[in-house]
Amino acid sequence: MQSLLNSIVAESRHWVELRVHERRSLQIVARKGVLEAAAFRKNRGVGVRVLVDGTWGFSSTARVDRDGVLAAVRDAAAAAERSSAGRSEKIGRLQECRLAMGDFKSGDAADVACHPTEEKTALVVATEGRIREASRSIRSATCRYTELLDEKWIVSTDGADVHIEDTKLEFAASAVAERDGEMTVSFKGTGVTGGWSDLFAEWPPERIVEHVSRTAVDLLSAPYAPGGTATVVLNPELVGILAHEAIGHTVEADLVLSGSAASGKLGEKVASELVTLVDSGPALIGAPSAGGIVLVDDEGVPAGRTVIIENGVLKSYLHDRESAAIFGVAPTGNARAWLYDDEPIIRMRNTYLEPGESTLEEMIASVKDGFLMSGAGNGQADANAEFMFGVREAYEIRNGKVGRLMRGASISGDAFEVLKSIDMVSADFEWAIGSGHCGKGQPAKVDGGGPYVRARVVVGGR
Amino acid sequence: MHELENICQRTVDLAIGRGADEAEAYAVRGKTINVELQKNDIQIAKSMTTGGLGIRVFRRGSLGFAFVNSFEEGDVLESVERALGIAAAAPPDEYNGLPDPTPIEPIEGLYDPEAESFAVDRAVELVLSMLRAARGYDPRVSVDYGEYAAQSGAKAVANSRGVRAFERTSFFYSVIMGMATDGAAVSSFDYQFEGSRTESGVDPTAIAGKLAENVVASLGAVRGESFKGPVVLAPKAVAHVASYPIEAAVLASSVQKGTSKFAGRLGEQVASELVTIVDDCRLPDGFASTSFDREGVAPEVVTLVERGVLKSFLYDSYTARRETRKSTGHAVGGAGAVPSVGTTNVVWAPGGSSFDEMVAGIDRGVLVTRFSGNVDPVSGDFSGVVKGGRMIRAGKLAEPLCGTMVAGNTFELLHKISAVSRERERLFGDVVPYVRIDGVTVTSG
Repeated sequence: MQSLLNSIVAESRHWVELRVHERRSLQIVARKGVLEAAAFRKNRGVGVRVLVDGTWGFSSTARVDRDGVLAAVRDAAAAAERSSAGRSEKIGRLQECRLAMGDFKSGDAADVACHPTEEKTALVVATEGRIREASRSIRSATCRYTELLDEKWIVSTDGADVHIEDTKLEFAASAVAERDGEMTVSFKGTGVTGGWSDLFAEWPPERIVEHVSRTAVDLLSAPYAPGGTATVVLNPELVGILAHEAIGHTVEADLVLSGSAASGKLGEKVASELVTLVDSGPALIGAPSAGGIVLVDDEGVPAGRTVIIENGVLKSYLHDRESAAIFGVAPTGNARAWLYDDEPIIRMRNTYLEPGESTLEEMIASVKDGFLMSGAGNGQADANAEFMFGVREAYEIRNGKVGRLMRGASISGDAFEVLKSIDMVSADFEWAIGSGHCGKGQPAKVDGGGPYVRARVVVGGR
Repeated sequence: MHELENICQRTVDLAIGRGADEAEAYAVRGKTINVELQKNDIQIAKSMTTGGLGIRVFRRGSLGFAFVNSFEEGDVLESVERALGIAAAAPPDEYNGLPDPTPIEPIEGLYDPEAESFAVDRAVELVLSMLRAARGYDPRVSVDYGEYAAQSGAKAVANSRGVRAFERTSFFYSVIMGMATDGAAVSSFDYQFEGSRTESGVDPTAIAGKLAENVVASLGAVRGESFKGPVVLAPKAVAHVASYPIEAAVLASSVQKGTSKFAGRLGEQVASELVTIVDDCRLPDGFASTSFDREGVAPEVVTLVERGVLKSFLYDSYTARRETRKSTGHAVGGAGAVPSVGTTNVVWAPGGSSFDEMVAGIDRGVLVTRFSGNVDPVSGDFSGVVKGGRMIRAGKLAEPLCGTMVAGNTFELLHKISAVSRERERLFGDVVPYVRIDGVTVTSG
């Protein structure tokens, strides 16, 4: 494959990037005793990007033989040539950097292959059943397993020449409990770049069953959280969601150029000195199986550790080669494409807060009147850093002691204001949001997390 | 017979030969030309070929599914084997199975032969005309994102009970998103889109004009008042706040899962008498019009709500079998998805008043151009922000609003619809009017 792609790149008159991507995925979903979906999907093709007259052209096809790829190169070049006259600001150049060569492997496809579809299906069906059996109050449950087995080859005019293998797995469950017409919902998911054993290292199915069934039932008798500004201790999942959704998107260079909240703030103090916020391709902290691992991005740029905020000061945006040239910085390895027929765009990978020195116990003990919050529900965040997320479980803290579970809480505000209010950061670390997808026109597998933090936020309640 | 039909039939035969009791293959093939704008300039031009084959097999009552984006023999064989492997692992379900053939009547106008030869140059020309129209309306308008796309293709389905169907398809659509800025003042963000089965059915300059008009009108927005009273929802807000929960509640799958507020209410008044909604799979030029559904069943035109009375639910063959009745032909999904029940073109019947008459009849109210927030399709609870909102005072559109929230429950408010407009907008396949609802909680922060 690599020699075929190299020969086509060598013959091209234009700057060209060829990305052959094969994905085999398996998804199994059980709901309320029925296997709702069990599907194998295979997508294989080539995405071709060319840069002609300072204008992008893109083409994709499932035909990855010589004729098929050459036809796609011609189509992409024609698309760029015919649109370049209409583009007023031409792309000057892509940022120069050392592009990756060789083989890169993340995850463990061999381990996943050792477990047959029968075993995976049985586990999903059994897990969903066990949740419903855990309590008579539980009306329905769902459980899903997803695996993505990727193989890619990327070759470009600038010298990228890589072969990548990657395996990402997810396992998640939820429960709906009901009493007297009132319904409560719980959820827990885990996602890794790794093998079967990595997927269940922290959250084996029995722990997930116990968590979602107990939480849904406990929430039935939980009072509604009162609203107002409060001191809260946020768990690694909420810290990860905040880092990704509310801060991370505002530092994606394409959104910065559109005037996001982080625009023009490099070098400024945007958070408390206790805050160091990182987006990293490899997992350099915590478990080595973070769910958003990228070793080389889809432009062939080695993906490293990008410090976005260091001790409270905004240090870097997230770049592809186009935006890096505009800002005059090195690309950060954030160009990602979901499938072969998507073009690479700026995406996050594993986004987290660095741990600090406090212990969770002393953080809780320090709160006179507030909440310990865990689990992120539905929410939204805008490029202006305003966010609102549902909180799955809010425990009140009174005089330094964790008290009752409360329901219906949400947190909202300006994410940078929340970061400024952080005054305690624990020494723990956990990857916690690897079971879902980030959406930005195309999906992406990402992860995030961090320690526990103490902050002031606006709590929505009743 | 068309090649795509042959591919489906061969795949079905292969699956039966390999041990499936029943088998279905659904294939699509197409070509897409697309030019995108970002930040007032062309960003990327694309030319893509696509194709895919979805294979559904049943063995001893268990379902297996596989998809592959190729029709090559080796790939098809691998997918058939994977589907059979999944069926072997899956628990049986007595309602599993495939539909029998139904007579399929072709629909005219769903394919524009021009789509086949549509060139990038033409998409560039159209997308630039859209950009110029928006910027030319007022220099304060800024286009964040836009695109023009043309797709041509075909779809086919075959199953082991004799279903066989083929249809050529074409889709043209255009999208524009942006805002207006005047010094430090930033308008509400707006987006417009239009889709059609023919090139002439999409006018990119018209949607650009609408976007420009909306964002400029929302400059200088002020915080409004908090009250409970009438609101006028513009078609996009109607689609989000009203149609979306209704569309979820009329699906037989929702009824059977216990997540539909309409369960057990056929023949009852679920909305004001002014509301009539039809699922029209045969709408001329409809984005979702089709002569056969994802399972190859000819869909029926189904009246969902007539003068406020709930008339029917929508079924695919699985949900129909659970109630020993016929499918209405509403299996939806692409080649990559296991078929499920869904709507096609959701068409609201026009009402008796014009938009101007609607506004003229309101002493104090709010026009909601767009809604941004959460709508829970199960309970019908919604809460969110009014985008591009206008205060209505003494029967006239008054100051633009910001920081205004609306909240309520769709299923309760459907009874409080007091006017439906004669004007209707095409939102891809759906046809949606302006709607006046009384007694909505409006909060200004």
